[in-house]
Amino acid sequence: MSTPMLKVAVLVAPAIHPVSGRPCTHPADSAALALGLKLAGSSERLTVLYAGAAADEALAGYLAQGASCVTVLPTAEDADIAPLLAAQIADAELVLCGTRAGGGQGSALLPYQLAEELEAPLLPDALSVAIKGGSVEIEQFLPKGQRRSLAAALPVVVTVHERATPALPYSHARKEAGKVRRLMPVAAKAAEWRYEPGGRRARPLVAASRASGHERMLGAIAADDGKTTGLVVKQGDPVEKAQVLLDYLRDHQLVDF
Amino acid sequence: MYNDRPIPRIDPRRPYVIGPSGLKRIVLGESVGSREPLLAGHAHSQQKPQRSAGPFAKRSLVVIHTDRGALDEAARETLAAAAIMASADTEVLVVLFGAQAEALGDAAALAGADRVLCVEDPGYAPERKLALLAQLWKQEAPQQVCFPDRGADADLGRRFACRQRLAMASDVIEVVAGHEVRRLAPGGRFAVRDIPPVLLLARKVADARLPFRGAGVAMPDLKLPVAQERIRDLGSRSCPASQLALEEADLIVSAGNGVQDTAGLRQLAETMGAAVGASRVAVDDGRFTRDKQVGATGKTVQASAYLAFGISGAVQHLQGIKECRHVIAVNLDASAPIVKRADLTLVEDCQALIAALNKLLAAERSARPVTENTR
Ligand SMILES: Cc1cc2nc3c(=O)[nH]c(=O)nc-3n(C[C@H](O)[C@H](O)[C@H](O)COP(=O)(O)OP(=O)(O)OC[C@H]3O[C@@H](n4cnc5c(N)ncnc54)[C@H](O)[C@@H]3O)c2cc1C
Ligand SMILES: Nc1ncnc2c1ncn2[C@@H]1O[C@H](COP(=O)(O)O)[C@@H](O)[C@H]1O
Repeated sequence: MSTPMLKVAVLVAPAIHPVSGRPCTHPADSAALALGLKLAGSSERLTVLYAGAAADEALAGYLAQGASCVTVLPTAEDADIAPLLAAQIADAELVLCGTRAGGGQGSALLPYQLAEELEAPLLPDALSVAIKGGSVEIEQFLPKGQRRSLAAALPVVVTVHERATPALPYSHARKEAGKVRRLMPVAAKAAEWRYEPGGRRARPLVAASRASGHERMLGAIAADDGKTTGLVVKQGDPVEKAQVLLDYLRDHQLVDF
Repeated sequence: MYNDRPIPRIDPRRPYVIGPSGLKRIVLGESVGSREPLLAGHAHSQQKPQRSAGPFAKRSLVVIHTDRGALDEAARETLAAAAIMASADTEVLVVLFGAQAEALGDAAALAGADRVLCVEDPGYAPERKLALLAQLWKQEAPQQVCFPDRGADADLGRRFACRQRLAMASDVIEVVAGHEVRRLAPGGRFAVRDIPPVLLLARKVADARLPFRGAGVAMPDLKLPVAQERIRDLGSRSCPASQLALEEADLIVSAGNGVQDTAGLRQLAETMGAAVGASRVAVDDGRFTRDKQVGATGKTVQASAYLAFGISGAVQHLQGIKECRHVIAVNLDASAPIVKRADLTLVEDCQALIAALNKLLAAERSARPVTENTR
């Protein structure tokens, strides 16, 4: 099945539960972990890594989902962790991340930074990952039911879509047996974000209008932004109307037959 | 009392304009407009003023993957955000992947672009696109590079920021021009920073209705530069629509109370490769399962084309199809509310039309050589 001796690194981060605010696992990271377990074959060749300031309990969910050991690189919260993580996983041939974290910034940027640091290609949004000889082939999730196959030579960074594989079922026994291994704390450059409490709606950018009140009124009643009714076809028999419908779909390239 | 003021006389042929609903509008004190009904067509699609006439000293770059050559709402909002942020001496230069200048017309200018560069889109080619952007970054020295934060643009934007080692902000939902950007971080907090050079803008970051337009100078269409790709694109396929969640479908055939022939409708969906949706009445009737319901209490769909058969278009239903790009209605009643929303309405009996469509598609299929079907 998979090539023997493939070294796999899985990056996980605790998510913030949207309702309770408590730390929990993130579906995309869990899917990455499940794929990593399958591809690495044995736990010696699998590194599960986290960098940050979360407590051990926050990572326990990943132990329960099959990671026998989570390695923690303690850093300050909100540090620039890409170079640190890249140094840790420099010898991995396959790096699996979730598409987007549910904690920290959650900006789906870290995998791109890692790929750049490791000079490895990045395969985004994988639904399945297959190792074929020295290369990796993924099926990429695209919106609107599209799927795309991409391939690249090892080593690669893959981001895993949350629908890829169901996570291993939560097991209390695995959680008790697994351990969290802490490395030496490292200092890192802080990121440039400040935080503000949310809870209000974001204000969209609106262009300042130089129009007079009268002009704006005119715009509101007769401008072209109010959508006009489309074409209404009343004449003809059903067959002609069916042809009109098909022509419309084809003219706007909405169907490919 | 006797009123000796002159009787106010109303000119029965006062100038008027035709509003979007087709009604005559008379605005008191207004002297423009038409007195002739036949000439009144679009009295008010008058030209918007240009945002800035130049000369331009600075530049702001917007990069967009078009949707089959057209600008979608996310693209328009990103362009609008760049145009609103731009000062009078800043030019908005837009790179459109997969668009052609002549097919695009002045859509980009109306969306706020001052200069338009159309580039071919060969599919997944991050290295070649990055090479082009690196070239533009050097040549044009933009102050800012904006991408819509969705799909292919989100991917390219992150790659660009990491490759050029530029600070970036993703999922930006609020921009305070000249000052700072805001995004929603997990845990319901806002994350704030000063404006970085690369911006990935989320939906609703700006109001796409602009009171001005851009200059819209079209540059000659461009081919991508040559670069070594490290990722091979092995081609894409679309999932069979029947396996697809309704929210993900690109083409939906939807049935309302007017559809009795559900077997015919299912067959139509099958041949068109479309997903099946339904209105609440059709679901309550037991003709479709609950997971097919579209609308306020059902699913919100994002199809490019939504075919509504025998659906009246109640607000609760229309809520579910707000994001659909093309709506086609088939209804016996030409004054049903769906007609206002629809881009094309066919006034016809559903059963007859479904049967006709099925027959038409079957005839085309059998007329075509078999090889074409095995894609
Ligand atoms: C709280 C609330 C939530 C709701 N949520 C939803 C929701 O999520 N989704 C939803 O869909 N509805 C919802 N509804 C119901 C909604 O208000 C409408 O009742 C419903 O959408 C109407 O469905 P319809 O258009 O299929 O049926 P009708 O209103 O009966 O319309 C049938 C249409 O088909 C046409 N027609 C009839 N026969 C033919 C024929 N042979 N050929 C062609 N046309 C024909 C008629 O002219 C008519 O326009 C909700 C209502 C409430 C109060
Ligand atoms: N602090 C972290 N430690 C380890 N992995 C992380 C960390 N933050 C994010 N990741 C990984 O990177 C992916 C994308 O994260 P982000 O860029 O923060 O959205 C996540 O799904 C994780 O797999």
